[in-house]
Amino acid sequence: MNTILLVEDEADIREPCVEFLKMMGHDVYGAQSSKEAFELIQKYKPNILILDLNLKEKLTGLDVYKKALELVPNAKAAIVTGLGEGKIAEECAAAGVKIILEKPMAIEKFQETVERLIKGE
Amino acid sequence: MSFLAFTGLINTLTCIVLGFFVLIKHPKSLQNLSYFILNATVALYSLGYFFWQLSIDVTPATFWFKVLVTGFILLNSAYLFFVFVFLNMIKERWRILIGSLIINIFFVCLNLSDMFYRNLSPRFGLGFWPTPTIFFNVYLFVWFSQCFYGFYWLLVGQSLSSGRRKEQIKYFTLSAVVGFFGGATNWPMWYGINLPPYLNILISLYIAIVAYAIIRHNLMDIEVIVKKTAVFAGLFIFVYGVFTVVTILGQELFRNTLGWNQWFAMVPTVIVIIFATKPLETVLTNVTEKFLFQKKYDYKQILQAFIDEVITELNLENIVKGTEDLLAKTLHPKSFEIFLLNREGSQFASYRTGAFALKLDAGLAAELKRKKEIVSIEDGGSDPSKNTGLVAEIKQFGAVIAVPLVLQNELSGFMLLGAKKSDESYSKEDFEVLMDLAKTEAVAIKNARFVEELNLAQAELLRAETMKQVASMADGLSHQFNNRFQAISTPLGLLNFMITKTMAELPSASSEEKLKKMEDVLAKIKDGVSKASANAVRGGEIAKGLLKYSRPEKAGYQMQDIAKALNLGLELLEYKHADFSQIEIKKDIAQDLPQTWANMSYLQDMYQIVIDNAYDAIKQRLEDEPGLKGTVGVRISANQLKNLILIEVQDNGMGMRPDILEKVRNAVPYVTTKASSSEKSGYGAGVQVLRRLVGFHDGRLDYESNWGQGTKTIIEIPVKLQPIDTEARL
Repeated sequence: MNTILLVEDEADIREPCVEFLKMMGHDVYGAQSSKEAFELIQKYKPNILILDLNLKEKLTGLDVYKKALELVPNAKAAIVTGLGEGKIAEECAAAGVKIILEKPMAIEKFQETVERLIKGE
Repeated sequence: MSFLAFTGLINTLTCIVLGFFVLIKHPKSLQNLSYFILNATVALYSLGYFFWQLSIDVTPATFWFKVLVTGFILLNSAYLFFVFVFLNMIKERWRILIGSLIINIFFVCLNLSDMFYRNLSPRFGLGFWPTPTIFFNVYLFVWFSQCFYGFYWLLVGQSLSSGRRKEQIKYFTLSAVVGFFGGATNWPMWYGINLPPYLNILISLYIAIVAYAIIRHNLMDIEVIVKKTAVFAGLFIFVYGVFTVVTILGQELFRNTLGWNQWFAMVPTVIVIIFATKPLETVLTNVTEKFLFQKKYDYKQILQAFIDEVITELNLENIVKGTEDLLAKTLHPKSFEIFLLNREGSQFASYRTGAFALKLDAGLAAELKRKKEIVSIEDGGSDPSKNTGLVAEIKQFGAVIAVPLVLQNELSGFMLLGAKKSDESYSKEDFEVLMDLAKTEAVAIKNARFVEELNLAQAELLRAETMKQVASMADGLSHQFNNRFQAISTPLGLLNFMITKTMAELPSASSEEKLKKMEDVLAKIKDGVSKASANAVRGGEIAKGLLKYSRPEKAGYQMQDIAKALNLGLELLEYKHADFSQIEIKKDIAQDLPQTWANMSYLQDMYQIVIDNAYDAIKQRLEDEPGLKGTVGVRISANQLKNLILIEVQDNGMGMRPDILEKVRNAVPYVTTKASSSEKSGYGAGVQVLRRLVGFHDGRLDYESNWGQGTKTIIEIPVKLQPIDTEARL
């Protein structure tokens, strides 16, 4: 069973996505901040992490991923950004994140990404 | 004393005086030495002539005649020597000179051995005259040959020269013709022709012409001292003499009418002379300067006035124009051009056209750089030290002199002046004036260029800062807009999924299940549409905020509420920094703030820069103190008189070390407070822009800071109830 953690500070994005994934039959949790994310990681040990890059706080989604690897070293992750892939591709690759999603994206794309992560990409 | 004796005496005295004077002026100059020798031989001839004419007996007459003949024989060699030196031909003609000297010495020997002439005897009441021999006849031919040979080269030299040099040669040629002619008027008497040689006095005219050429055309590089001291001395003697005579007459009057004794009567005279001498000297000095040396006096006045004006001028165009006008008023050159070193320091280009680039290390520029004095081609390039390339280079601009602009031993440019419109040559005095002018010009141009570059740098800084702001804003806005679109897309996407799923399930559902599913879907539709709508509106608000920035309310200078721009500045920072909301903004704005004449756009920028700097400083401190709660307090108030608005922005960021704080307070450019000196600085280039924005409102900017604790930015804006001179602003 896959456990998915979605870290997104915008509720209007996070809540529909979480509901959508639940309707797809996944075990999904949503976090608004890095603090909440670490609490959920500690508790549920998700193997799929979908992280918004800009969390309106000091830590970015990529920072959260790097720290999360201490708790869930085998987790697969995708970074979601509104700034364009080009700006962060190198940094994500260095951290081991291969999938970057650019906002705005259709919910189907989101679903497709989750499936790729489940397959182990 | 006969008239002929008188001519001999006058000729002797004038030759000796001028000869020694010329030699003393430049004792090491071969030209001056050769002229002295020439005059010495003329003086020898004239001295012999004087005593010969005074002689009442044949024996002394014969002796002195031999002296005068020796004089005029050696005179020709001395004359050729001077001509060759004067025309810079001595190296090519020294053999001819030696030949001439040998021949003339031979004739001197003939003179001393009585083979030149026979038996001096009284003739026509004009003294004792000789009877020439065949040797003298030969000599006479040689005499004329040498004269004409010298004249020939003088005429050639004159034709090859121009300007002042040409004038010098012309006047010397004239003086030589006059002198030789005067002397030649004696030859007819040798052959028994009753033609009294009264024109022997023309030798003094030869002296007078040379003296004139010295004064007027700087012959043998002698000029001002002669004019000033001679004229002043003459005036002083005349006036003082008159003055003394009058006072002495007064003394006689006291003695005779008042019965004072001789010594007592002198007392008033002595007192008057003592007290009047200095004032008299002062008056004569001023008169000499003003009326007899009008040109230099005017130059000094005009030059001083120009120096006072140009040294404070910071506009290059005005400096060049002012210089051109000054020279047109004083020296009247036919043309004027100024060349300046380009910004890269690689070549000199005409200021007016930007064309005619001259290389730094070649030709004229190299010569001016080396000599650091005026290069003149007025002598037509007869000076062999000036190569033909240099002459051609100056000539191509229609110029005759090049004046270097030297500052700190470096050539920063030069001026090219054409010949004077009056066709007069540039005098040594003119050169001195031009060099003085050039020194001031070089300083003024450097200052003007510095200001130009400073303005360019500031404009570039402002542009770069603006672009930087725009770039930061672009990231922030991109993020905001994409989030809004995602917040519209996601709920609607979910909705679409649910509707599709429900539609698929409905056919097989019971009525009750269908109703339930429909109710669920409708609820979701309501929620989803509501969220999408709210985010669409929010996106529109962001766009409006951007418009406010691009089209600030009441653009330009108008009566404004200064505090109003604060909120817009904060809003823009929210777009720029995704985590800006982490910082607490505390506002304390006085209720009764006076309005002032201000520019809303500049005010927005001002607040944005100040608070953005505070944000950076807080971020810097957060790296060491992650638990810190960043705060920025903004206080806007007015003083009691309501004529000053005070804006204080206090942050609890990293602060500035004392040395950095001092630099920032003193507006040292490009100071960074970032310890790591990375690309972004807390109080770096932005301070320069901020200072300018505050300056646009005639305000004052200051800082207080403690390292590790925070910084307070203090802006004072005077309340202006009338329009600010906006033309002076950016």
